[in-house]
Amino acid sequence: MSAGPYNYSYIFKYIIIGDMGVGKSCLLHQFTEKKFMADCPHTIGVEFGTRIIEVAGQKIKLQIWDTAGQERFRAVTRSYYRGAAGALMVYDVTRRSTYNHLSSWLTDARNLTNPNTVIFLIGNKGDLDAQRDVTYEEAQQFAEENGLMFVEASAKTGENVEEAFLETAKKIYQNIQDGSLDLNAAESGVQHKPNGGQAGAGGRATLNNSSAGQTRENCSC
Amino acid sequence: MVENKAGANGHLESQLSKDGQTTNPLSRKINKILETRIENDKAAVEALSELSLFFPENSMKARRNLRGQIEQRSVSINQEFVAALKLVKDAVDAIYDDVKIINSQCTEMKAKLQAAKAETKHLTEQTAKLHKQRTTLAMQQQVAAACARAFLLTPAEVALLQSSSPRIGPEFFAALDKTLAIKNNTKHLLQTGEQTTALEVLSHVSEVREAGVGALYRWLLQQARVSDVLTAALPTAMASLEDRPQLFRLVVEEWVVVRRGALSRNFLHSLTHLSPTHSPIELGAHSPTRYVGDMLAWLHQALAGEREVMGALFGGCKSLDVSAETSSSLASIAESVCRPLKTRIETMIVSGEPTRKRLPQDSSASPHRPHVSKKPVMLYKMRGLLQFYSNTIEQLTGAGLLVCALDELQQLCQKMFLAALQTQVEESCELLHAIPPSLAPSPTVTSLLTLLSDIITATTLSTLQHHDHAAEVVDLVVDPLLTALNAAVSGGGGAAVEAGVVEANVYLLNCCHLLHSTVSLLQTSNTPQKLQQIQGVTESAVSVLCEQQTAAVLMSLALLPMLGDLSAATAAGGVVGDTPLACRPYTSSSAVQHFLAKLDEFLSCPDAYQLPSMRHVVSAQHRQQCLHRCCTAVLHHYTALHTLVHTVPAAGYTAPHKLMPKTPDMIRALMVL
Ligand SMILES: Nc1nc2c(ncn2[C@@H]2O[C@H](COP(=O)(O)OP(=O)(O)O)[C@@H](O)[C@H]2O)c(=O)[nH]1
Ligand SMILES: [Mg+2]
Repeated sequence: MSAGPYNYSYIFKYIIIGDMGVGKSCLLHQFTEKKFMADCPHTIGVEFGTRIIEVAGQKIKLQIWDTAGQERFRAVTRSYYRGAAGALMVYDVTRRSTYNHLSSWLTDARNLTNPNTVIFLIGNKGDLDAQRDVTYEEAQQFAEENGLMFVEASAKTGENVEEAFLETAKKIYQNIQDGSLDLNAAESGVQHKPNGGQAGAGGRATLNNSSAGQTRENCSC
Repeated sequence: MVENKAGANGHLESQLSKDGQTTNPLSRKINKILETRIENDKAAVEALSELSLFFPENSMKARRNLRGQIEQRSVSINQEFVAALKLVKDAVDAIYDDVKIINSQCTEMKAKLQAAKAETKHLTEQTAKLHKQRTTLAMQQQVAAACARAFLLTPAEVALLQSSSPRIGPEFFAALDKTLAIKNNTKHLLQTGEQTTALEVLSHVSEVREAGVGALYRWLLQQARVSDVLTAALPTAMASLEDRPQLFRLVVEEWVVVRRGALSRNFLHSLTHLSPTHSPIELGAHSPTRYVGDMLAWLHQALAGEREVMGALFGGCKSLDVSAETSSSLASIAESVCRPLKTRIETMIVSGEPTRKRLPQDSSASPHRPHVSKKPVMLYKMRGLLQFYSNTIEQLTGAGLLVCALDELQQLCQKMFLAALQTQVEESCELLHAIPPSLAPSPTVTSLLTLLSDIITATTLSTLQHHDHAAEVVDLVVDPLLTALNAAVSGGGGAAVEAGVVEANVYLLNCCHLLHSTVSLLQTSNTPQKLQQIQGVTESAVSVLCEQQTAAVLMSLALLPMLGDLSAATAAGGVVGDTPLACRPYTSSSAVQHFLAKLDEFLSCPDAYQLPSMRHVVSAQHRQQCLHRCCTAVLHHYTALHTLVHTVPAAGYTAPHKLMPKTPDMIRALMVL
């Protein structure tokens, strides 16, 4: 029961985006199950995974939404950017086209998330160095130009996977600490869950005390 | 000194006398005396030296007195001895007394010891007895403790379970588990015959357990109210209520009620609440698909969260199907948004028209471009969305009212979509009578086909089922369109009369061409069939055009008047009636020469003979096809004529080689057939 879904202080919502086949689902699986799923089925629409991590002694629950990269799903997946605290933008280091599409993904991410959303660029399949089609340096430069955090990772070996998810969380937590992320904004992608059973003044409390919402319930439907 | 000497002498004498008495007493005495070495006889020496002390002078008187003196001395010595001995006796007497005392004391001690010994023995016995008692007691204690463990709750446990608001945690669960264990143990006790005790224990334990269960139940109800924050004790608490189905149900119901409230509140909040970073979902209402998609995505995410909450609640239960239970309670929670969601989506389906605002301007500005509403596309996309989310949410909640509602909405959407599409197609088809001067597909047709491919390519979210619908959609558009086009062109309607057969068919052919290229890209299940259908219409149009084209060419080659006689002569061996072919006016040598001259012109520039409207045929292939058929017909007639001229003397042509020097094969080569 110790690792159950209890006693965490925050929930951070993440979204994973990028072209089809870059390994988004594998990254999520590697992060939540610590296993590489070589024959991962195509994602239909959106899938979901969670894991509790610790940042600065605080337990944080990550709620991760893995999207289908295919164009035909964009209309659906676009609705999931709303309220994401972190966006992991993935390309495949062995397929340049997936790197070339990053700017379109970045545009979506910028337009559909809030300005504080932490965007983390991941060059996946780092294990396939022989087939490399995108250099570390150019991706690094792209990340710098766009103010993104960046790492090359491998869902297969697990290298840097943990780091990518954790660094994103640290950055979000830092944003909370220095006040640039407003917890009371319902769409911040962060919910504060004070321990001890007393629903205190957190993000969720804002949701709950909306008497306005309640009165509206009676008239608007 | 003298006395001593005398004494010694006396002693000596007595001795001497003794010796003399044995043998010759005298001689022996004398001998003895003679042999005597006084200096060697220590006693004698001593006696003599003693004697010298009190016998200083050897006189008569002294000798007479000596005896007395010696006796006197002996007496005094004895007296001295007696005195001395008395001292010794006294001392011995004192010792005796002491020993006597010691003895008595020893006796006493011995007695005491005896007594003590007797006493000690008693104590030892007592100790042994006590020891034995102790062992028994220890055993009894163990038994009692075991009993207590098996049948009794500690006061602390009782207090914990009976407290009005106990701390729900490991201790509480341990105590509660113990009550259950005791109840089970009591059953054994009942079997062994300890009825009274057993019943007493049972009633006490049951009472305490009841209190504990009650407290747990109240705690779980209260936890529902703060169910945003899950406590670690929750699954165990819930599992502890598993053997109390009614309470268990009540708790689940309470949780469902609270979560329902939270869900619908949060839903309405996210629809309307302004945050610094995000507009409320309702602001997206100008784009119905975006609005509906955002709502459903929000719901999907919220339900995933709710599933975690309910999953945690049931997480510790052992006797129920956790996943099924989670799904079904999630279905009830999801019901809470059915109504607000349904009304909103229905509104979007029924009235949603993404481009309505710009409609009047558009249609008034260009009457030739009838506005084709995007509504069917929107509805089709919406239907796909609804289907996608119905599947997605069903994975979370199982079948339930929300899923049903989504399915109903999907059906409504489908109905509205088909209706909108049908209306659109009908309206468009009515506009097809007029054939545009360009003979290109009218804007009505192009926009209808654009709509069709928009719809089909919007078929994006799911895979298989959509293709069936897509086929239906293709039917819905293509069939009426083909019918209307056919009717407009060949049904003897006004359009064909006004425009002429060639123009009408060119138009039909061009429309079919567009249709064909559109439909072939759609790749729906009925695509081959549709293409065949279109191909059929295309071919009939082509054959009409070929006929027209051929007729026109035959006419301009002056071949047309020949044909009747030509076929008659072919059948009758070169004569028409009784007249040889060469003597018939339209097939005379000069007429044939005229034809051949025209044919040369035609062969040098066949395109010049094309009907003017044929230039409007979009497809070069169709144009080519018409020319080809036309040439084939010309060649056919040429061959017939050539045969008659060259091989049938009855036809009456002189100098056939001069008249028709080119063989049909040569003509065919020139025609590039
Ligand atoms: N060698 C290698 N293959 C990977 C890695 N990550 C994913 N793959 C493979 O890439 C394919 C697509 O992965 P998937 O996670 O489904 O991609 P998604 O469409 O972005 O979710 C799968 O066949 C994986 O086995 C990686 O790090 N290394
Ligand atoms: Mg995937």
